[in-house]
Amino acid sequence: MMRRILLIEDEPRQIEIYEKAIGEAGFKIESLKWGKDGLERLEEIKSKKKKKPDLILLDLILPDINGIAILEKAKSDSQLKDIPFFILTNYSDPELEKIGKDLGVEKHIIKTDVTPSQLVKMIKNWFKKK
Amino acid sequence: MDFFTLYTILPFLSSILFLFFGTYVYLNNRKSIVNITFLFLCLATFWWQFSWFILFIIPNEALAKYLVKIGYVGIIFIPIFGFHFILSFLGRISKFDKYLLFSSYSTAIILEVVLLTTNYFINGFYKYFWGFYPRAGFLHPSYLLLLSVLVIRMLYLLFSSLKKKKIVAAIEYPQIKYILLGTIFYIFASVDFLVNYGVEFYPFGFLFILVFLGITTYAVIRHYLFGIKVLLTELSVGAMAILLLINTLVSTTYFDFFWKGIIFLLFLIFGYYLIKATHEESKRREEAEKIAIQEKFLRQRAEKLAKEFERLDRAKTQFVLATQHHLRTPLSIIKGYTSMILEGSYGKVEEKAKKALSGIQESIDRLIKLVNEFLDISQLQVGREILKKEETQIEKLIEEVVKELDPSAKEKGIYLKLEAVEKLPKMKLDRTKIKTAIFNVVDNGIKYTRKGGVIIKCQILNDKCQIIVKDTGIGLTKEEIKTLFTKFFERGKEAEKIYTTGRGIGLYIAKNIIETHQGKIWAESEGKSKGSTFYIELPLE
Repeated sequence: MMRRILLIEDEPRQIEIYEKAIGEAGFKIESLKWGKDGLERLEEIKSKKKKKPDLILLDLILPDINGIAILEKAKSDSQLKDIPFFILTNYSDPELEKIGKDLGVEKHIIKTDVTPSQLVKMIKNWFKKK
Repeated sequence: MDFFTLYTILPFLSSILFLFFGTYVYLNNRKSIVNITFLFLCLATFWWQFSWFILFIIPNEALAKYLVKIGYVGIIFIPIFGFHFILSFLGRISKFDKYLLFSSYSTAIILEVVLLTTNYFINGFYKYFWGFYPRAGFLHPSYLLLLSVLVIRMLYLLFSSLKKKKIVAAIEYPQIKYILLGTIFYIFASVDFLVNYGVEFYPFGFLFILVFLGITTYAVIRHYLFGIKVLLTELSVGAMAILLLINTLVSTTYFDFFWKGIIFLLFLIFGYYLIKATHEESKRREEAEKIAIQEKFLRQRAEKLAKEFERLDRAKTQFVLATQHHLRTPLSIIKGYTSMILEGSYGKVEEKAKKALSGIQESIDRLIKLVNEFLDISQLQVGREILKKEETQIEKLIEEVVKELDPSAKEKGIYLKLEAVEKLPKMKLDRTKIKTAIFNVVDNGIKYTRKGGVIIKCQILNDKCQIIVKDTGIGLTKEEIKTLFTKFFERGKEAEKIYTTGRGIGLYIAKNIIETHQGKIWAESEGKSKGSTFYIELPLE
C-alpha cells in the first residue's frame, strides 16, 4: 500500500521540488498551501471525509497562520493525535523547536540542511523503523 | 514677685510659646514664604499676648493710658498675616486674593495711624478685676468687618482646596486639614473682642490660640508641615524648658526666683548642646537614608535597563531569525533543484555540466553555512548565555573534527594529524558550539596550508585544557595577528591566491564561542610562510 504524505508548505517552487522527489520515491504526496487549509483538512479527517495521512510535513511560517497552530490542533485531538509530524522549516527558533518537541514532533528539519533526496531517505528510514 | 498671678502668667506663657514656635519654624527654613508668613503671624500673636500681660500687671491708670493701645498695634495685623500665611501655604494666589491682601495691608496701616493718633479706634480703657483692658472706639467695628471678610475668605479657600486635594496629594491633604482646624480654633479667640465692649469676663481667647498652636505642632510632627522633621529630643527639651520656666515664674521669693532661674538657664545651655548633637546624628542618619534611597533608585534603573536590553535583544533575535528565514527560502530551493538535477531527476546530465552543477552546489552550501553562522554571530555578540552545556569528553570532539576534515586535507595532499592525547577529564561545554570553534580553527589551518599539514595537540596546563593547532602554512604577519579574530578580517594577497573566499569569519565565531566559555584563543606565527599556531584554552572547571 502506498504511504500517504501531506505537505503543508506555501512556497510553490519548494512544493514542486518536494512533490517530485517524494512522489518519485513511491509515496502518495499531496500539498496544502495555506495554514487554514491544513486546519480544515484536520476537520475533514475527523469527520472521515478524507483519509488520514501517514505523515505530515509541516512548514512553520505559513502566509496565514503559524504552523504550530496546526500541530497543536492535531495533538490535542484524540482522533488526530496519532498522525506523525515532521517539521520542515527554514525558521530556526529554538523556542519553536522546543514547543514542537514537547508536542511530540518526530523530526525537526531545517530545509537548507538537507537535499530532497536526503529528506526522502530520512522519511524512508523513519517508516522502516516504525 | 506679685507680677505673676494666674491672670498674668497665662498670657505671658502663651506669648512666649508663640515667639518660640514662630522662630523655630522660621529657623528651619528661612527661605520659605510659608514659614516667613507663619513667623509674622506668631510675632503678631506674641505681641498681642505679651501686651495683655503688660497691661494686666500695670498698677496705675496713668501708665495704662499710655500702654492701652500698644496691644492693638499687633492685633490689627493678626488676621492679615493669617490670611497671607494661608495664601502662601495653599500656593497659587488668585488675582482677587492678591487684591484683597493688598487692600487689607493698606487698611491695616490706616487703622494703625488712626489707632495711634486718635481715640476713634481705641477710646480709653476699662478697669476689670484682673487688670486694664482697651475700650472700643466707634471705628473699632470697621476692623471687625475687615476681620470677618478675611476669615470668611480663609475658610472658603481652605475648604475648597481640601476638596480638590483629597484625591491627589497624600502629604498636603492632612496638612490642609489641620491648618483648617487650627484656623477655626484661632477664630474662636475673637470672643475676647466682647471685653472691648464692656462685657466683663476674663479674656480667655488664649485658650483657643493654644489649641491652634497644639494642632499646628501636631501637623508639624505628624505631617511634616513647614517641611520640618521634629526630633523627639527637641520636643522633650522644649517641654522641659517650659516647665522650668513656669516653675521659675511662679516663684514666691526672689531667692527662689534666682536659683530656679539659674537652673532654667543651665538647662537651656545643656538642651542646646543636646539638640545640636542629636541634629548631627539625625543628619548622618538622613544621609545614610538618602544613600539607601539613591541605591534603590539606581537598582531600579539597572533593572529597568536590563529589561529594556532583554526586550531589544529579543527583538534583534526575532529580526535575525526572520532574515535568516528569508535568506534560506531561495537557498533551499536552489539547493533542491541543483541536487536533483545532479541526481538525474530532470534527465541525463553531461559530465561537464555535472562539474559545473557541483560548483553551484558547493557554493550554495557555503552560502547556507554563512547564513547559519549569521544567527550564531548575532547571538554570541551580545554575550548572552545561550550555551547548552553538558559533560563532554573534549578529545572526542577533536577526533570528530579530524574525521570530518580529513577528506579535504587528503584532497589537498597535506596531512592532518592528531597527536595521541592523554585521557582528559570531562568538561562542561556546549558540545556543538565548541566543536564548531575547533572545526573553524582546524579548517582555517587546512585552507592556508599548501605543503606539509596540520597537527593537533591537546594538553592540560595549569587547570586549563589547551588545544594547539599547528600548521605549516602561509603564516601571519604581526598586523594580521592583531585583527585575525575580528569580524572584518581579510587575509592578505597571499591568502587570496590560496583560498579566494577566505573571510576570516570562522575565526571570529570561534573566538566568540571560546570567550563565552570563559576561555581564550590566540595565534602565534614566526612570520610570512613560516606557518602559524593557534591556541585554544578552556578552563577545566
